Amino acid sequence: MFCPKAQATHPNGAKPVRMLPMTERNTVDLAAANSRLNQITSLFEDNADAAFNVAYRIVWNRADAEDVVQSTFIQVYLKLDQLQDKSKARSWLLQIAYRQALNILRRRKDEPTDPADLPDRFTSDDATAEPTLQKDLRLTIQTAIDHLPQNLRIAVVLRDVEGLPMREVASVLDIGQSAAKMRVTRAREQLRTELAGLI
Amino acid sequence: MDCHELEANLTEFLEGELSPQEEKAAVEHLATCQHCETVLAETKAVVATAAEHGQEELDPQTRQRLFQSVLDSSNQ
Ligand SMILES: [Zn+2]
Repeated sequence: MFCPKAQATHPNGAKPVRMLPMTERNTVDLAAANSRLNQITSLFEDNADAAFNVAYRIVWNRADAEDVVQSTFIQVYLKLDQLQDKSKARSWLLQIAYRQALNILRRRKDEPTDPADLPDRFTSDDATAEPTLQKDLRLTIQTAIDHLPQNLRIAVVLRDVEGLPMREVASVLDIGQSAAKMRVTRAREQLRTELAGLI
Repeated sequence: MDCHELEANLTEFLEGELSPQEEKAAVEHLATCQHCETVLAETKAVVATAAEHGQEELDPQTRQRLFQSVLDSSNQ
């Protein structure tokens, strides 16, 4: 704790010699904590939606996807010091979210995991949506993305929805860059076929 | 470059990864082939639509709640 009296008396007193390094160390700790707080705040601001987006496309319900976001950023906060290259923060944390979402999927054996097996997401998840909204561009592309097989779906979400460079898509999915490119290519082809005449 | 080659290289073309010669060949093919021009335009439309409308977003309250719980968990 900061102690102005100890600091003020330090030049003449005997005991403050011990107090001052304490104060300095606490100031350093405080600065480090503030810096970590600033980092996690901006990482969350910039990437929480992306993490949610990736997780939701795997676990297919908002509550589980929200849990993924929470546990992802808790891990990120704990491991901030391990992040040497700030430019890799986004793919690093999206990879954590991706793996956690896959873990939830593995633990959940009895529930449908393929969107084709689920009731229509826009009537089950969003009660306020009108059936006419099905014609809306947003729902059209969302539904088309839902229909993709998971490996293509996550690749195209990362590349085209989240705008990650192809090398970061590969890094999140832990696959080679040409494999990532192949998945994105096949996803776009399927979306193009499904959306033909609609966009 | 023919239609098959163009479609096989479409992603590299869009990523700007083709060699200058390949890129020139692709552009020349696109200028003369209605089919490939359509494929390219539709693919670009898919990418643009996905970028603009593909995001599932957290609602602001949930966002705030999740962020707070991240901070709380780290202060324990
Ligand atoms: Zn052609």
